[in-house]
Amino acid sequence: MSLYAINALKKRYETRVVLDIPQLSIEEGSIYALLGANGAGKTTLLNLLAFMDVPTSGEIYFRSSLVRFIEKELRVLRRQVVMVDQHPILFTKSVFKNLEFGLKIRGIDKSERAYRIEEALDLVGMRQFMDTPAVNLSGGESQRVALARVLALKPSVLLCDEPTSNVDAVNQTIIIDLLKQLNKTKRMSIIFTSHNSNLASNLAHHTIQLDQGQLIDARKENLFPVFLRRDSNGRFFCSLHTDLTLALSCENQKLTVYKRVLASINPWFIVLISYDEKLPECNVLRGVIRKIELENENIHVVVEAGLFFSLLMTKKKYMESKILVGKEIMFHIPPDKIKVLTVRQ
Amino acid sequence: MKLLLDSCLSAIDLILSFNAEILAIVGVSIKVSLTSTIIASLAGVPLGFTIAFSKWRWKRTTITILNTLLALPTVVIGLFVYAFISRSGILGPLNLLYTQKAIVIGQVILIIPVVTAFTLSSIGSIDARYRRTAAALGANFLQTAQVILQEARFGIMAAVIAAFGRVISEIGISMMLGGNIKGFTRTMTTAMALEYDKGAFILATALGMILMGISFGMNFLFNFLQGKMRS
Repeated sequence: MSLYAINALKKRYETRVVLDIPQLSIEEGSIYALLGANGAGKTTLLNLLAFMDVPTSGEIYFRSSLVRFIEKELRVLRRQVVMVDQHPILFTKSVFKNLEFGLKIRGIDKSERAYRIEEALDLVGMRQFMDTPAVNLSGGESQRVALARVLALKPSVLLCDEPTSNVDAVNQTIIIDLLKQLNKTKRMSIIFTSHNSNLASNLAHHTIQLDQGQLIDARKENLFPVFLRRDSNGRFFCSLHTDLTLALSCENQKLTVYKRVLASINPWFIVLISYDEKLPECNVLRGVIRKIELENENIHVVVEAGLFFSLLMTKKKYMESKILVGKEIMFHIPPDKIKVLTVRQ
Repeated sequence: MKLLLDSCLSAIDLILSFNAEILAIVGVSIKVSLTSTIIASLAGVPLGFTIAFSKWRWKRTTITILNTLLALPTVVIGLFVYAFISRSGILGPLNLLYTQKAIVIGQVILIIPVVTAFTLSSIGSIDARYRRTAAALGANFLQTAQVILQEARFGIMAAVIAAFGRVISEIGISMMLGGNIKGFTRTMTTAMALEYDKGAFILATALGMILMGISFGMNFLFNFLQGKMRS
């Protein structure tokens, strides 16, 4: 079932269009990652999905009903869809009172409130801080309490703006595991923004890639900011970083050099090469397999080769390749499969 | 110097003896000041809140006017209110002149800008994310307002204390609208002015000491709450 359906959605601040999405559908019960660089429009889209902002034009359907951006109706929707900010703020009260706020305004009785608060704090591992003044918590603890404050409300949709960007590694793991658990056990739909493709790869079932307010047709993992350059023979290359340069095909050569662009590589076209095979002329990389997982009846392989690359293959091909996590492999990226998406100045 | 020292010692004696006249004057002062502070707070806090939350085009002009009104001289207010409540004024039939109610009316006009401006300032300094968070958690306008008021509580309390400090020490309004009637509208400041005119320093000094004590207490509380707000 479609949770959100977006049609010709635009958000403009004065004359600047910050979001322009012709069509987008988000399914119920899944985890979605909104990916993109700073200023790509992730938070703007998340705010619109949380009914915290009003679009300049266009339509949003929530569970097949057209959302009318009238405060009274939005309030009803906000009780189903709850958002956790990137830098959540806790009220200057105890942790318990913070969690109680949303429950109280929903008219939930005292004993049920206490039960839900304890349950939510248990979920984030913060029960021992129940009576602590919120101002005394660390950044990571505040983030977890903010998450608990939302979880106590038992929303059907959870929206998180950069849920792990301001927390340490331990708290990151806790939050990621928690979000996975919520989706799995409570079938909670989760949408989060991030600029971390590894987090998206680890957590999300689907990704929505944004760039300069527009949807980009690319998989999350193989999208890289690159610099274009041309050698003395006129061939084009893109530099992913200082030690990693890939050749581009002729069709991309209309681009101007020394421009920052986004390059996308379709994971289906990255080819594994066996050591006894004749090596292609260019774009051969060595890397270590970091993850192998089943994804929609296909195999998704994550290889670390200076950057993380995603490969997709059929089960049959996977069985033939005999690859394992931790094993070093070689793979080839055909120049004509590197797609230059946007040009940035 | 000797006169001041003698007056101070005698004033302390007078205070410690719980002199009936002093108690009556202090009682009137506190009663009138508290009443006007409560009324001004009931009007000024919501007004400050409304201005802080409003997005209308004249908001900045309103704030400028409000800040100007902070320096409104008490005698101007006295004169203005007198024009309304004197026998020939439109509120003349209500017989308000030279009553405690008249002082309260004048003082309310004096401190509404104080309460409003301080409330506006303390709400303006509250992080916008509080409002957003409350809304995201499903709060309606009133519930969101409650959150903001809760977060701005120290600032608002400081506004109320500052307003009380302003009215307890004013003289123009009390004198012009209250008339300094003994046992009825005689406040600490008007009594001090009268005693000074009579050349009777002891009662004036005693009242001055009490007034200073109240002002000090108020300022102490004000600073304490402001410190709390900052932290």
